Amino acid sequence: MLKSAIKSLLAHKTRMALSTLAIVLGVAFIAGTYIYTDTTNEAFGGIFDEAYVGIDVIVTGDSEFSFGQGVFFDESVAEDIAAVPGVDRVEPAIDGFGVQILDRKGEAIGGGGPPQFSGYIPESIEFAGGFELRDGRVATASGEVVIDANSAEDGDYAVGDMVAIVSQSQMAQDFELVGIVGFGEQDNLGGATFALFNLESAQNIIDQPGMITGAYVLADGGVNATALAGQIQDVLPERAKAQSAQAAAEEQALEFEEALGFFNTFLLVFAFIALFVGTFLIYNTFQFVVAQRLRELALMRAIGATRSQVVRTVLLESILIGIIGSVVGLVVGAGLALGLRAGLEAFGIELPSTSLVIQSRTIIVALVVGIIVTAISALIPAVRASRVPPVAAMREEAARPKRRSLTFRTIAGLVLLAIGIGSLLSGLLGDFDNTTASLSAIGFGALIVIIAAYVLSAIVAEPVARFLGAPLAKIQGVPGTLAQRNAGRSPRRTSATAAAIMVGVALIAMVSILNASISGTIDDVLTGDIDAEIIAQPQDTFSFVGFSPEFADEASELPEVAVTSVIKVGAVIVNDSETFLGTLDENAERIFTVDSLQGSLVPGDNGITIPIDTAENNEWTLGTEVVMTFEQTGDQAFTVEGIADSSAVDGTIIISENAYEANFAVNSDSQVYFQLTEGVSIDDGKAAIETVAATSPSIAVKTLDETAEDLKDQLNGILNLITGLLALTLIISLVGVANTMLLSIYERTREIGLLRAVGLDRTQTRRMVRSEATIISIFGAGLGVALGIFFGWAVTQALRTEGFTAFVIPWTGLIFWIVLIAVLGILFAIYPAWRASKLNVLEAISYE
Amino acid sequence: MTTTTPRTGVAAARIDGGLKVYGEGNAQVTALRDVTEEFAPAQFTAIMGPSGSGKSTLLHCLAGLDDLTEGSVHIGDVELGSLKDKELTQLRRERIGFIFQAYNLIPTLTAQENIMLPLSIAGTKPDEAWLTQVVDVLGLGDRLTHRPSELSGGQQQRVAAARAMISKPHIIFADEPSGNLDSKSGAELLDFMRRAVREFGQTIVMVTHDPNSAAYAERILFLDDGAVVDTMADPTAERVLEQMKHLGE
Repeated sequence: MLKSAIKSLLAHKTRMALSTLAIVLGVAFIAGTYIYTDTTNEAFGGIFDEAYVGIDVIVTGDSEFSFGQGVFFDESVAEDIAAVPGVDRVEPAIDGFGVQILDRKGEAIGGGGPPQFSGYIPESIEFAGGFELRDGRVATASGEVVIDANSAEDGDYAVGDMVAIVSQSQMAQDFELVGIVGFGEQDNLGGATFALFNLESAQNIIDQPGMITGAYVLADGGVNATALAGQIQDVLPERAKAQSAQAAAEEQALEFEEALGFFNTFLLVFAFIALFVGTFLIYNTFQFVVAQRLRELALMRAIGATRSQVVRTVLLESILIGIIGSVVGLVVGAGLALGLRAGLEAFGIELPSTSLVIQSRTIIVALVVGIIVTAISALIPAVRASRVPPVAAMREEAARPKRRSLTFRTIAGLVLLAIGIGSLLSGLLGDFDNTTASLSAIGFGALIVIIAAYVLSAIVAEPVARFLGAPLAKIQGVPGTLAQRNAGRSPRRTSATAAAIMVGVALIAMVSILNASISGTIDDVLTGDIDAEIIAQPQDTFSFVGFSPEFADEASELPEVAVTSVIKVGAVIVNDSETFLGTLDENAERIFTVDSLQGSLVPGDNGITIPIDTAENNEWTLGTEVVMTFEQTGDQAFTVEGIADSSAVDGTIIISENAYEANFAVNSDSQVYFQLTEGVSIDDGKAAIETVAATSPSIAVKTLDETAEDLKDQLNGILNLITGLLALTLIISLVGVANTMLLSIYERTREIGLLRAVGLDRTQTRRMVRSEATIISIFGAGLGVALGIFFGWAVTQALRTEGFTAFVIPWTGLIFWIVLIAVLGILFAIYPAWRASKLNVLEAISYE
Repeated sequence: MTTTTPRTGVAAARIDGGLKVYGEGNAQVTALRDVTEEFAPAQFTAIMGPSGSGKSTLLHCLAGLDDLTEGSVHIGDVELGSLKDKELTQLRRERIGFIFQAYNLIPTLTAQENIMLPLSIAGTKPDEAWLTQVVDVLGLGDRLTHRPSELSGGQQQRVAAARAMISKPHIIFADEPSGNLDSKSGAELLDFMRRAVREFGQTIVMVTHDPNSAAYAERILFLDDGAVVDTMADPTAERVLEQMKHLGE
């Protein structure tokens, strides 16, 4: 049986090649993702080990926050630790982030991408966490700085130069560069920048005088690190923890792995979408191969093969394809991982070099996924093959598949559609305890809707093909007419091909619609709900890095500025989940519209103001006591003093500025709104405020319009990323178009021969094939756009309570996609068209 | 009925010193040996011979579907060997009609669309009167909007015949046109083909192995082992049968 499966494969090499390609691409994406993340994990795992060589116990803050500022405690803790028996030496650590090294033009090195750290570099550099001096010496006096080798190179700095450093709480200050460090062999760590100081400067740069974030401990000879960590823990304040260096390294590696795991999952989602699309292609191929071999299979049945043996023969063939595709995919995946690393290095994001890590898990997943996907795709054709009556071996008519009725399909499609929409809506609008449950309902619903759309599309394939092909028939005459009829001829194959395109286009269309709708919402908010001319905010609004309050203080003194209102943002845990809160000051009411308000907009120092939705969802009313957990100060009780429907409290809880300063370690501003003095032009006002911000490149001063544009640009970036990741899916679906055209040509060989005999020339033959591909592609893209609009609508409806005010369909963009897919469909049909035109007329006519 | 003027002077088709060899070495087969023959305008010629005698090869080479190893073929005054694929295709479209044994029609096109196919491909307007006449003669008037799958075998072959006629080609090549038909439908089709020659001056070359079919022709070429071994004018079924027996010996 295996032999006959291999033989059959070899006989249909070209037909199988494209199916294998679909598996190769999908599996390569999966394998590449795993290999890349495993390799990165291992590389960084090595770094964490290396960083703590020679250190026994590590003391750090104990924080459950993902978006926190870190935990700070008094530097006297270091002395307490030193007093613990068995401790030989203690070096305090003071780590900060959002501390930017400026280049000579005053721009931040490393931009807004990788994190920018600060720290204390002790004289014994082995206590600095893995740094090695490349040049100069450590910083011993205030006003001195040591930076990483990559930043030194980017900024063209050498020892002895003056370097400006800016932090979240300090405006830019000049430091003398006294040393340059590397990290083992590396010049940098994944693109992160480091500015290292003596203890006092390290504390002051992040506005934490007298505070530390942890300590490195060296034990006396022969003392067990784990036991010592336990003893040290006893003298530590709350929210600090002691671990053996080994445990700390493992924990950090694990945290890193988790962070990378998100990236991993994100990529895998796209890999699976691509494979899902590949199933349509494989299904088409096997339907065709089975149809071609029906007589042979009938003969097998006639000489005594059972139905299940027939099913197994076909499945075995598909499994062989799955194995070949997976193995090749694994190799290509390793290549992808190498390519990704090389690409990131080209962008200056250097990772520690290790050889590629190919875990057995990667190999197993790749093989299992590849094989299962092909086997499932071939299952229906295999079962269909087993139904062929043995008599078909003798009588040709019996072997020809009957044109099955589409009634069952219609019913099944409608039932699926109902289930899918039901699940989708329940996920979007229903009452779920957690987001995972509602997200899985949405995901499941979306998947079922996609399958239902595919099932139903076969029913409309013929009329749609007729409609879409009409202009082609008009323009091209016979080739167009034939393309039009052919596209509607095997509605199942056409719809499976179109559905593959539909999936990718639907997702792109949905994301485009969300993008346009968010942009619309931004416009609504910025033009309608905010009465300010200028906004100052961090250059990179996604990094949660703020800037010094000095800026707002100085800018508010400007004669051009009439009203200044500051918002600070921080993370807090409410009801067991981490969320953001903000502050408002007394000027907030002059900037933001307030649609409805109970109590006060700006709460007192023990109060909070909450959005009306939060009040409804939690059943909180004025006077309700709410306990919130802060990273620095732990649990704190607040009273609801205001419930507002206002652009000022969009989705976040509001506390007073005093409460913020009391509960957050780092006091930085996140947004500053300015109303200009009457008679001052926006340009003049902006220019004046910019002079104040000049020394801090992390502050971006923008007009309202510019703010909106920048936000939209960032959204477009996300849109482009997702579209890019869906490109693979689109490519596989277009390979599907090529596949379908090749299958159709095989099937219609005699017909093409006849057409050529009665005078269709090669150009016309090619045009016929390409036009059919165009019709199928437009069909798929059109279905995708329709589905994408539905998904986009559903999501915006669901997010209405989160502040979505607009539902915008970007028609130009969507039409662009349909046109693009049509053009790509033509390109991918070039080869099949060429094949068709090169058919030998005489052989084609006598083709059996 | 109108009659097209029989073409005089030049032969409708001509093959000179036709040699066709398939394969190489031991597997070499000579399908045509030095065949030289003319097909006069407005004449119905049948090519007969036992299986493997080269009759189909001769037809294919005459029709430009296959090329000779040596020798030349003319359709009218055009020599086929010098033509590129595009020119050859155009020649088939404009000057040659085909009727094959089966699968003559494009299943997605209606009977009328199938008939019009050579003209539609060329992008030329049909001669409505001619179309009506052909359809009329073939008795296809009420079948024009049907798809091939809705037509009987005889009707399908008549549609194929109509298609072969529609562009008023120089010559029609028919390969066992009645081979798949019952005797009544076959007789109808052959009768029509004969009328096309007599009434419209159409030139037809038909390959067949059936003496009854061959008897509809005005002249028969007998092929054996790739060579023309005999010809017969104004044949009858009996004489053909006799001749075939003779060949078989």
